[in-house]
Amino acid sequence: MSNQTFLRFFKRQSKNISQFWRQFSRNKLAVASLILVLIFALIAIFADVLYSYDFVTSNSLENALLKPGETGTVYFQEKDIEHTFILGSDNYGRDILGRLVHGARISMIIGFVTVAMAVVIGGILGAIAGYKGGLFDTIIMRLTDIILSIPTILMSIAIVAALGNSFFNLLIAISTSLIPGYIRIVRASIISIKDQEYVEAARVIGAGDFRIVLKHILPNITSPIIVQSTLNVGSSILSASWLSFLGLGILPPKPEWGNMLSEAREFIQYAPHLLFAPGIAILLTVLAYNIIGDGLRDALDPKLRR
Amino acid sequence: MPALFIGGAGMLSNADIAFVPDQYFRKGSVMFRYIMRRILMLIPVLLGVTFIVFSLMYITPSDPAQMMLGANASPAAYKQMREDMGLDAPFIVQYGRFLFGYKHPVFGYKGLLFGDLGRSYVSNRIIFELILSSFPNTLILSVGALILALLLGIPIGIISATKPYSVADMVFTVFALLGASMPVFWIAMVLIYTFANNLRIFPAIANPRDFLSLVLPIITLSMNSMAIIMRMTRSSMLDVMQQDYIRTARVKGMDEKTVVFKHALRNALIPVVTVAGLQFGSLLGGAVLTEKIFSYPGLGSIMVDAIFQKDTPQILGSVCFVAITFTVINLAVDILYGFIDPRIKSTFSTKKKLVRGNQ
Amino acid sequence: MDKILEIKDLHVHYYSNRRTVRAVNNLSLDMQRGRVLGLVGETGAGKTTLALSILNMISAPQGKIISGSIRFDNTDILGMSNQELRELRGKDIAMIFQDPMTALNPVLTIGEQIAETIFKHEKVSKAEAWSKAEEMLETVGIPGVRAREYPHQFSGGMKQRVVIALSLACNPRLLLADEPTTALDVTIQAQVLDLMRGLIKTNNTSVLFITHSLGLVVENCDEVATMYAGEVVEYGTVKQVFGNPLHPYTKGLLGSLPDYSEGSPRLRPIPGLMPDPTNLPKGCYFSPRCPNVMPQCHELHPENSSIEVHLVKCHQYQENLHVEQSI
Repeated sequence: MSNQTFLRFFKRQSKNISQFWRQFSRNKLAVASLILVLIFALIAIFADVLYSYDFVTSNSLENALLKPGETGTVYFQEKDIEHTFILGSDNYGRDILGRLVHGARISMIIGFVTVAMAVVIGGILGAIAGYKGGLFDTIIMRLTDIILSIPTILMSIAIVAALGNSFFNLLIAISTSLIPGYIRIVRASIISIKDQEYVEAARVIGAGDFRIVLKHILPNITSPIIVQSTLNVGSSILSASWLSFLGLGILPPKPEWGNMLSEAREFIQYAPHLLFAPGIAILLTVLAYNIIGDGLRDALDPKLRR
Repeated sequence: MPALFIGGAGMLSNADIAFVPDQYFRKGSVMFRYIMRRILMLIPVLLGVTFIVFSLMYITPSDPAQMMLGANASPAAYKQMREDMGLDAPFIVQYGRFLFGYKHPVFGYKGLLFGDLGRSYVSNRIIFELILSSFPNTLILSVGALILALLLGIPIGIISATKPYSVADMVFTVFALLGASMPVFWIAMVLIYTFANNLRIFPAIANPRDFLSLVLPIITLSMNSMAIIMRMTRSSMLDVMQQDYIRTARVKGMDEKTVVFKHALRNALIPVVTVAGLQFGSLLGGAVLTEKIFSYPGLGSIMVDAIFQKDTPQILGSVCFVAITFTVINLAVDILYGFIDPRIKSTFSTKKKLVRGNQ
Repeated sequence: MDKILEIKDLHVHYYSNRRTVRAVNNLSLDMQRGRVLGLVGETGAGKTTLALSILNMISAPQGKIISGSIRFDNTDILGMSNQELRELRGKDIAMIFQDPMTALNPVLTIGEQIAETIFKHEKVSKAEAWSKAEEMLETVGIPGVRAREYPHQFSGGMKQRVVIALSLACNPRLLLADEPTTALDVTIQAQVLDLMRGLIKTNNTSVLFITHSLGLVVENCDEVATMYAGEVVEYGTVKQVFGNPLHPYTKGLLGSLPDYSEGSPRLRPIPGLMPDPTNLPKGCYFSPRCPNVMPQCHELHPENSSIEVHLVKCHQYQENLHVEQSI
């Protein structure tokens, strides 16, 4: 029974997907952004093939602050290598493009993991608040209010400061500030749907909770969650970059776009390429996710279309 | 500022059909009761904020007693110091002291409720003195940035909405997308590189007494908010322009200026005001980064320094202060609603809807 | 006869997604001064588009008046400048919309909304405009002091009264009432209509009364025009059209009304749907649904046939009008 429900659900979804794609692909900018994000994803996945991690994290001071395109001799793994620094080198003589490539990997992991954490936790809390109501609802919503009344940046800084400087704590800090958004989305749609007559009707004819969730509630919350998640991947990457910039996220020599900029601060006068490469990487990534998010919203939710 | 537009809307001044503020605040009036209720509802939220911030600081792996004594203190002195600082007490007692005060000749303080958290462990300055002396500087930056964002964001949003899909609209849309996606600290670095290092128009280091030095940080800080306010104004305006009452206004023979500024804008600004209120919070947060980059003596710099120095009471004091300010501002924004949207008054005056409206 | 409005060969198109919606097609219609003309037809027949065209309010990118002429009191509306149009709207021609809930601006007091119209069109001070607005409210049965209240403080029927006060504030010569009572309860409907009738009579206002309720047409109108797929298919006095409906569509409309006399047949709904306005049939637009369809109906678009002032657009009457009449 429930297996069939599942099958039907996915069959209907696949029909929706082709319809959705037709809508989405009308937005050329969004398609371009999607391609860009996919390229970044490929770069992130194959970062090790492009540049060895050890290479981009080890110093070679004699090659410091090379301009884009300059060549230098790097002593790496006990031999001298002739290397072209396509985007130049930083103040420790590390290859900027290589660090950008590995930074893309870190940024992507941060973006996806934080959003996934927020969706799961926010979704569960929102569902409890919406379904159970009463005391659960009050407590969860008050907590949301409280988190929202501390500016996001401060909240993340305070969490990293409290838990200590580590990759995992950075993930917690960023995703905490995303959770309230999902709580609200899920709770609001459950409350608005659970008392609708067609859901009541489904219940009357004996549909179980599982079936109601799958058939009526899930399709209604997937769209806003997908849109919110896409936008949040962008904002997560942004948050990670400025936490790293402040020295609270990922610290050098690990390559991260934000800490690359932080390190570049003193040298921008002599080496402006230090400033532009990571900045544009962040800008393009966040921009692409924002555009895709807007495109998804337009394609998935006709009500919100402008 | 939205208020500018709102004020200009009343046309029959002698018949006083425009809003009458004192009427709302008269004791016992609906609006007065609404505001009082909202202030009461603020208390649990603020308590929650202090509790969360306190808990976070409590679990921080730092040891103030060790910091006070230095590395080579005797275990006995260390134990004595912990006792003096009140660090040996259970969590809930410490939280109570944090709120209501702690009696001790050296480390005592009156508590957060009385605006006193004693002295910083690091600089030994009175915590709230430092906060209150640096907060106006932060306020200059944030308010400046908000004003800039509203002054540019709202008119550009209106232009975009009245000529949707025109060239101007496209340009503004791209600008807004860029503005919303650029990291604040990167904008700052690019501005410093261009205007301070190369063109030498504005200084790279800001201080509140020099207007010229404030230009770059204010632009930096306002960029994201400007983009958001612009988009919000545009979409809200587009939405309102399609409403029936706009058609009514046109059918009455109103000219386009009246239709846009009197009939549409006031409705369109309602969501913009909310967004502007929320933006103020993120501006206070964004100020942390901006201040750091421009070496500006504001609350943000103090907070970041305190975090790096593990100066727990200073962090607690500053974060709570900002959160409280933010919450109060959001309340103010909600009240401002009452002046723009007459429906709010009656919507929020019943108890049931009040609860729902606040979530 | 004294014509207040003459519409000739009007074509109005809307554009969406590279498709053209032909909302009004070759429509001609005259209105006599001081009379009430009922305009009936299904949803989507182009009734509201026609009303907006009379105000020249079809907005540029999405919609366009392709051709035709609209003369109001012998002046060409379609040739007017924006300035002239603004002076015309609200003063000479006023319009009442279907839904009073959304027709009033929620953030302005109702007094201000009425007064600004008066102030715009008449040479009065703001204070005079305000007191005239209060007077107008009194005429529609709302105490003048309530002028300072906002639309949300009124019920639906009261709001429609406000809208009526608003539209009649400057004594318009022509009132376009677009389903003014559809959104209201039946009891309130009657009250609002009574009120309108009274005001129209005293001011000698001509009214285009758009509705899909045939009952309301019989009660309130002098003439009636039936609209189908963007054109007027039958026009005549209420007595002519209801006493002797000629067009099969009008007959269908009347047949789909419940008849409570004993032994009457079941309701006869018109089968089928209105044609897609982006893809209208070649011949008569009604031919796919017509019970009396003839071969030429699929090929040739019918012209008007008339018996005195009773007009009908149907092939049945093209040649054999007299035959039909003698039956």
